[in-house]
Amino acid sequence: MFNSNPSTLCRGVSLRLVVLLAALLLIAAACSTGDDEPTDATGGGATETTAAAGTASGDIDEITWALPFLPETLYVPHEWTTGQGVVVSLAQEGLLAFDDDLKLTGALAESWEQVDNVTYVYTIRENATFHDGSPVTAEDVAASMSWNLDPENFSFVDFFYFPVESIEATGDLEVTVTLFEPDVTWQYIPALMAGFVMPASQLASADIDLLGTPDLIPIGTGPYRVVEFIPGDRVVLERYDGYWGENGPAKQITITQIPDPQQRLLAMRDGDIDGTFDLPETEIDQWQALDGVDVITEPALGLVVLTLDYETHPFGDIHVRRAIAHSLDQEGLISAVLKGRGERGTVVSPPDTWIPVIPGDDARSFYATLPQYEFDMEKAAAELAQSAVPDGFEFTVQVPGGADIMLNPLLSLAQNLETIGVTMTVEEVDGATWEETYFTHEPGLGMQVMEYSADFVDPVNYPTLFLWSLGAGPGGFNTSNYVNERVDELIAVALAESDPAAREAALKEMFEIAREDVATIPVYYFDTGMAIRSDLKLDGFNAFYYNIPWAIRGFGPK
Amino acid sequence: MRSGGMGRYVAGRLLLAIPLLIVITFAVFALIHIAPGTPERALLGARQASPETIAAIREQWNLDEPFLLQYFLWLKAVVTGDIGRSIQSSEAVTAAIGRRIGLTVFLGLYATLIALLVGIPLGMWAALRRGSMTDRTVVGVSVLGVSAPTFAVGLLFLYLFGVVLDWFPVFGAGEGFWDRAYHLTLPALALALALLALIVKITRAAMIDELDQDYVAFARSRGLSQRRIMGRYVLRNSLIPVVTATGLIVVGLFGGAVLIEATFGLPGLGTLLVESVLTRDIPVVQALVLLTAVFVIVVNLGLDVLYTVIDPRIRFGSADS
Repeated sequence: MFNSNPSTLCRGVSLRLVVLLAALLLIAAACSTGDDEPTDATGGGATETTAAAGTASGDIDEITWALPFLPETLYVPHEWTTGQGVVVSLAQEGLLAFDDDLKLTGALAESWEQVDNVTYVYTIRENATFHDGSPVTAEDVAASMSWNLDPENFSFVDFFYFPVESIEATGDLEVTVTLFEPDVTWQYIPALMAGFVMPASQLASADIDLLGTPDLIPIGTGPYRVVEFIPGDRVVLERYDGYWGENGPAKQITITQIPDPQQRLLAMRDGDIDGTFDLPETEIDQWQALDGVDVITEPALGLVVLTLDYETHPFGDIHVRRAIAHSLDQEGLISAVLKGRGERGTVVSPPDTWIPVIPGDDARSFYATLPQYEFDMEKAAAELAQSAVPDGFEFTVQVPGGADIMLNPLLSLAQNLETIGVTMTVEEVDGATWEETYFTHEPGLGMQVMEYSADFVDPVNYPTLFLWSLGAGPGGFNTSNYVNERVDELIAVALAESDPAAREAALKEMFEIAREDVATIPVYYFDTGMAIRSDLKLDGFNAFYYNIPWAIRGFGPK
Repeated sequence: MRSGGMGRYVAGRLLLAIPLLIVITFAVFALIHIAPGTPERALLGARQASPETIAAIREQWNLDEPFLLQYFLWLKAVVTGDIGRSIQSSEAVTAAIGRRIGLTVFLGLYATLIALLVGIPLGMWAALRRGSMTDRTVVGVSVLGVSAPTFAVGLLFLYLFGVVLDWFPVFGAGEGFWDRAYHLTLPALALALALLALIVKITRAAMIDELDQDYVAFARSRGLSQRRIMGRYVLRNSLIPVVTATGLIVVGLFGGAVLIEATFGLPGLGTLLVESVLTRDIPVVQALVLLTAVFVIVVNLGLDVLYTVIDPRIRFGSADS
């Protein structure tokens, strides 16, 4: 029966519904926009000391930079990613740094000396200050670095400190590092993110778990200080006028997160951002097509490599390994996937990592003398025919999603292998799954693919990961499970010897053996690309853009 | 209406919600553990880690405890108000969620508002012009809207309105109410498109039903203007099913919000959920699942209660004449 009451209520309801929604909208807006106040990262006014050196002419008020991912935490031992590096390398620094040519130079240390083959002494400069104005002392340096020695702290960069026996303040401005055994790679560690320095008082604080979160931002000594940190959204840094060195032109730097590569491209195109690092290697050509944008590429000292587990049948058979090596069309892949920006992989160390020993081009000449395993399906078929599985076999490879630089070589290889009777199935999985298999070796290894960028510029870096027997087994990178006594001996020599000629001989012999054995199949050495507004420049861009204070390395208006 | 009945009903529903929440959170907890990949490995990424470091991380997050005990520990903590910390960032989960919830709520409400403000008039129009070209067009377009994948629509809008026409910004969430509304218009539109279809169809069907009722014919024969009939009677009575459908819409918002936030690069709860699942950040996933489940339960309960307010013929408990 028709009743007028519902309609009166209904009128109220429809109106009320809209009003309610609008009210909720306003409340939501108030909640979501009320949290953008910058936090004072230093917990007190920064003492304005007179600038150590005049800032470069052509000051820029503000620049906006984009990254695919921002760090979750600003404390290196809790994360250690390139995204984090781009941010923290502006605000924090260590005893040493890499210069524009990737060589070691002083940062907090004004000088350093290797007094014997296990002892290094660093002298801290006098005018270095933290962002809260307090001076940098040897105690701060020792506390920051030796924090990584304590397993209770489970630092993510503890492995850089494995060679270290002790790090001590041996004077107000002097720090001494003692190694267990000679290790030529130690010299680089103070320049890495793993060597960044914080006040000892912050590390001793009871809230150490919060260190790196917006509630407790690490206090650094770098040219910029963090004034706002919203994980997943942005980091804002302001120029620190008490910096000991020459500072950069930008007064404020906002680093924002744009995970989607297409969106990042659009943002650059529209001028919403002034620059970005870490361009997708497979889409460089799209970036180069943008007007008003410069794209700069440098060798990344990075590698995509395939490992073949000796302990998984039939990869222990040298003929199978050679057959697979011959089936990889490296030149085709560089052209199609990297758009021409990369080099054929020969052994695991990119040629420019040889710089401390011999020039990169000399390394290239050496690589040309090694077995090339050129792309040739007939040779591949011939090798397979001599193997224990002449009729072919089947296997599956896992690759993390969203990594075309790893996926495409596998797809191409699978197609080629099919023609000689080998069925290779490429399985895209999420990053966590892929890492799990790679590092736990469960449920099995077979062929694995890995992408890695150099930790420092030295040819022994990659071999210690992929060719050393110490890197075999769960947790290591040597998923070929390659164990060769002579190779181990030669790696040990290359680590302990400081004489470049001795190192050169050891490394060359080691690579000859590994290449003969097809210990791994390096795919290519890729480049890293950045984009920047055409009226700006960044002269100091190099492979370690994430480990240098890039905003003061030749950055500014043209 | 007996208020005792209502109170008992609400209390009963809330009580039922508790085992439901436990089942939901337990199921998700189990799924994360079944999936390959572990939080500590996701945290470390592709780098060497000493067994001691891995062991220490596992210990800190109770990852070595028996599975059921881990769940119980989490439940116990939640019941006492401790939602936990993110494994990835060590931040309190409440802080991570609190930072992002405003954006997602804004987006959701904005999309709902658009869907209602556009969908209801469209549904009305189609009902009044039932059978005509207009009707067919409206229904056709709305079916298109609900069929098109949300992320595809999002990308299309982004390209069309953000890049080609340059009417809207391409990324970011904006600051301040109006700037935020400006930034979120495209995402909200993309999200609303799918919801729109539902509203249009339900409104249209409900209105057609109402227009066929005796009282409409009676009112017309009594000389009341079309406008008055529509405005005072038909429309309000038609809104009953729409309010019910709003409950479905709100649930549908979540799935869409995840996709839309990813497409437009918005740092909301959707992207947080995706990231935390990918990194097996168990405390964050559990908290978000709990939040979502509570929200859906509360909204549906609220709408059921609203239903009784709208239509006094609806009662809970015993049947009334």
